[in-house]
Amino acid sequence: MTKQNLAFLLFFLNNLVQVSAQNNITISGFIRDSVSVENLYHATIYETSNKRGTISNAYGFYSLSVPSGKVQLRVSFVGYEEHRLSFYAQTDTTINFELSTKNDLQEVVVKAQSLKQKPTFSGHEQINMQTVKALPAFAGEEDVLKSLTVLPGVQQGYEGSAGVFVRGGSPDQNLILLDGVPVYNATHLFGFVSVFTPEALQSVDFYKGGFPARYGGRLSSVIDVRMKEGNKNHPETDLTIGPVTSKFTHQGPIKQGKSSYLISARRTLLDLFVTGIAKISQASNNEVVVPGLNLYDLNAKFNFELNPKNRLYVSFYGGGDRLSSNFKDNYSFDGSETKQSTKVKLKWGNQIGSLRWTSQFGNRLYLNSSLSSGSFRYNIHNKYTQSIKNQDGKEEIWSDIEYKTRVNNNKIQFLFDWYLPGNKIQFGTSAELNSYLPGEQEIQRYDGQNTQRGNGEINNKALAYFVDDQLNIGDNFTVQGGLRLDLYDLGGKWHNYITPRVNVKWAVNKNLSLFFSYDQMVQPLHLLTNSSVGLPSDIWVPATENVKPETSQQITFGSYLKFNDRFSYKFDSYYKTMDGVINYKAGNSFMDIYDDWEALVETGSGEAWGFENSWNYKTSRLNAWINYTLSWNERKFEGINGGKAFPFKFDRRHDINLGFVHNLTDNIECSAVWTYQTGMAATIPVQDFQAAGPIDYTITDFITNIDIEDTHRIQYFDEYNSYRLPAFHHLDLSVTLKKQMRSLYREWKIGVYNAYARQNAYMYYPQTSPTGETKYKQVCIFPIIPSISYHIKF
Amino acid sequence: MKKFIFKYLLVSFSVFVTFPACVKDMEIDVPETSRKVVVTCLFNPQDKWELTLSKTKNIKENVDIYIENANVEIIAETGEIIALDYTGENGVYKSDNYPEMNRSYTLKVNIPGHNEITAESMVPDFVKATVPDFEIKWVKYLYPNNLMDYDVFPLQVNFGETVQDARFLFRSYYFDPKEGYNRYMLTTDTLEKLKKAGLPENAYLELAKLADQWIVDQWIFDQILFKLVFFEDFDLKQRLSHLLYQDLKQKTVSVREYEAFGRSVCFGNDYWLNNVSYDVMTTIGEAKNVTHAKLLYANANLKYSMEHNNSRDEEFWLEAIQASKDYIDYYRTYILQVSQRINPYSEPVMVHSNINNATGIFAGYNRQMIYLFTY
Repeated sequence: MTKQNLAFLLFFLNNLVQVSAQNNITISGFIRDSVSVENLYHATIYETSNKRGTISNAYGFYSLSVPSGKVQLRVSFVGYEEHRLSFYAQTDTTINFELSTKNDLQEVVVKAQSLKQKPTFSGHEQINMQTVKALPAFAGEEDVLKSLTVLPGVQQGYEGSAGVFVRGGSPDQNLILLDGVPVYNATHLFGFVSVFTPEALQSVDFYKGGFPARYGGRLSSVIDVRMKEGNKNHPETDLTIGPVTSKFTHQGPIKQGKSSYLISARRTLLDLFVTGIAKISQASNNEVVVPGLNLYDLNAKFNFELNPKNRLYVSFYGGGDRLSSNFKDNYSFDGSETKQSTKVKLKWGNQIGSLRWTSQFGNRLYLNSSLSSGSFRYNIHNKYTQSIKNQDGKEEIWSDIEYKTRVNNNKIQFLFDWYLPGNKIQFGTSAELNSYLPGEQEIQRYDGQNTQRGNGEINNKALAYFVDDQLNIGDNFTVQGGLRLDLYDLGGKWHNYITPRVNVKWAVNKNLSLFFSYDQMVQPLHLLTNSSVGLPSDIWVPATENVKPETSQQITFGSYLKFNDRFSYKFDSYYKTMDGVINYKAGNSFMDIYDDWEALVETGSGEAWGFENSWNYKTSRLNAWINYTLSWNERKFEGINGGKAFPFKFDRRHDINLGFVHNLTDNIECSAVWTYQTGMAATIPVQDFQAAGPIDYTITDFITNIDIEDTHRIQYFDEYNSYRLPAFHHLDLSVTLKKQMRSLYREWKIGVYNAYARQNAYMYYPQTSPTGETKYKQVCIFPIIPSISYHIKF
Repeated sequence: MKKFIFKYLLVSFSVFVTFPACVKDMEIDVPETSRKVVVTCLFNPQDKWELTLSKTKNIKENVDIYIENANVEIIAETGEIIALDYTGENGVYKSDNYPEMNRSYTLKVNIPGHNEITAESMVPDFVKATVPDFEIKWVKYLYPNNLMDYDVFPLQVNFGETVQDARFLFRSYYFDPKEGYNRYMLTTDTLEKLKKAGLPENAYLELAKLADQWIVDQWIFDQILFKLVFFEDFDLKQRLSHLLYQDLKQKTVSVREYEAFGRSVCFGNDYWLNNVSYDVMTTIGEAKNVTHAKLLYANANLKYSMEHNNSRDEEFWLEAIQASKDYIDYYRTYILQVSQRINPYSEPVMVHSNINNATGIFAGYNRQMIYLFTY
């Protein structure tokens, strides 16, 4: 930079500060809930005479520059009474707002903000928990992740699964954060229930494009889940009993109006029956098999106001699944007595902890410093013992086998919000230490022949610097430009990736807005999976020198049209390319993980494009929507399908979602959602031939325990995923009966999943008749599921 | 409250178990896809050249289509051309020549109206495999891919030299000298007699596939009756079994045929050896510069006999196949395809083929049968 340029820049900056100092004052403070005193994220504060506004940050903080003199403020947040305030101000002023809900506990209006709110930028939706609770629940389980599949551009994977596929991406390409910490496996029960307890959550920010620069590390979406802070004024308890899980949440003040806590626990009670019945029915037999199954979630959060400008948050989440089987067999033969026992335990789950310190510097700068750690572990433990007693004495043999895989992330981050006149700059830095254990087996034996095999632990480091500037140009034009620099240590050598982000909104008039966004993303880790379903056996591995990070580029164009106060239409189109996506090479699977995993996979590319349409109709009692996505989604690998592009398994051409939530009375709410999706792409071999050197022995499928038929024939197919399974559709209904008694609020929720019992294909398999003719059979696992849950709050 | 919760959970659980999964025929729109020519030829220096030509069959059909009018030639790297003639049966083409070791071969198949089909492979150079004396020491082994326990004993195969590009398949076998030379035949007449005695149609069709052929394993007929009749009607199964074995023809041969060896379980016990997916019978490995292979040999009957000092005079063998790259890729993907065929979470597996303008396999190998012991 020349001296002249430097002088000009200094002169410009000096003038900018002076001009702003001379003409503007800063109004800043916090926006909070009047009852719980929780900070409100994304509340709007608008100065009407100068048409300037901003939104509160994740900790309720706002800062707005306005000309000195008469100030007219309107503060609003969906579901809350609007607050108006007029005053004269000549100097910087601090004002904290406390907003009241429209009807506190008996609030029955569905706050379907995501479906109603005039969008700020394309690709971003904020979901609050009332939205999630209002939708029909699968088996009585209200689910944050499943509620996202109502949105256009977001698709469900297998039926019942909480895995989401965003704009052609796979579930591992979703950055799922809980209070800012990554959650690696966000589901229970092999994908059917998400790990998030709705009663413990405040909001979910969902991004499918237009990603702020502070987010990195995944290609397709960000699901930023925030836990509640806890009621700062009075204790509050929620209790829910459901068919799959039962939940307890308690929150209250530590110091009235200043500090609070929240504790939440969730557990399934099904295992009490499954294990109990198994024990009772087999108690009299020599052979006993006792299965065990449970899942649990524990959330805890504490926040402390150190002084008006500094606050400390401590949050913790621990959750997991346990699956066990205890087999015992006793028998006598020829004078000897044998006792055998095999205990198998599978356990997997996430643990997350974070410490966050927020500080306000002056009226315009806000710092969020955090230290966090998150991990996911999957363990299989198998213990076999056999003791034989005969006239020669007693002999005992045993083996103890443990398989484990693990991923761990430790992170420190500094995030600044800097409010300037007409624009808001967010910038910061983060440093990460990650460790991966991609599959290790340890065998211990009675005779000391112990063995260990696996890839060993891999550690790596990452650094990131990012900056976002949201600039308002005039009244109608908003530009958010971001730049992120990621530095990854890939096996001892640092690699850097610069990923620009641009987000533009043009409010053509008060009823029409146009959008454009462009994003580049990098993903420095891969998921080794055979299923795309999010099984605990899927293995996270870091990008390396040989298997580079995944990268993507996405460009979107969209519009929002408001016909009147009730009816609106939103359109988005996207085109996304992905490079460096991985797939097992033909002939390899997760069972070979003890080998060098890098040699098991090949990298390829992906391409996805689509058109998303959303019509929304909203009155005070009714919220109805039609969402339709037309999309294409392809993958390409050199060693698969002859190097030609083929449809991704979850490529669904049409995805339609119709629904409504209607408050019939103040105490009765009903909702219905109908989902239609083009059938999954499938490889169904319709030809076969006699194998050379045929397999002439039995191979038994591990999952179904079925002997595989026709091992002497090879199934032949030309193209991958060239067939379509039958269309997937179902109608879900729900009625919620609410009642406010003195100090107790109670709610019955009665629902039916798949009300007209559509037999959607979950899996399919070939079956050959004795005549040699093969037919495919389809298995549907959820023909119809009624549910009932009971919820009280006091 | 306790009572309420208990009732509530009971109702919920009942609802769950009242609505089980359902299985039905899947309506798939199967388009008319063109048939592909299939070439299958796995060759080794002990057997004369033999190749089969057929076409892929639609899964709704039950008869294979063989190609009878092809011109089949194999060209050795020396320039020698070996012509394979049609035998007149089941698409099989043969020659009186034998493949030779460490020699590349190019296959050329010309079928009227079809582009020339080509493939290349070779028989790897022979490496003598031996098993040094060992003591049988039974141990428990949990196979991680199916979480089942097996009684196994370790043994080691020595190559006598460092093998630079080792590609091996190992399988364990046993041979019963008392039964191994016997052959059995179910005649069409007996089958018709069984039908009149009430043999169900599906079992009839299954047995018809084996009729009028000399079979090594006489119990294969009983297995079919057990599978298709036993659960429906126990008495009928017993009656049919009695009739079948009463009329079953028997002869004794003097040759020890490969098919007469029984299969057993074998696992890898070395860093470079693995079994594929749920398969416990074939251990496969590829590595550079190896001198030996450690294996785990399993045979449940042997373990039981040894525990009870009940020698059956059975011979125990180990098969070591030294494979070309195409041979090992073919088997690895073939076994994986079969293993994953009904796994809903598995991606489809395309079996390796090295045939240009068609599908199938043309791959060379060396086979050694290593005698271990008799018990």
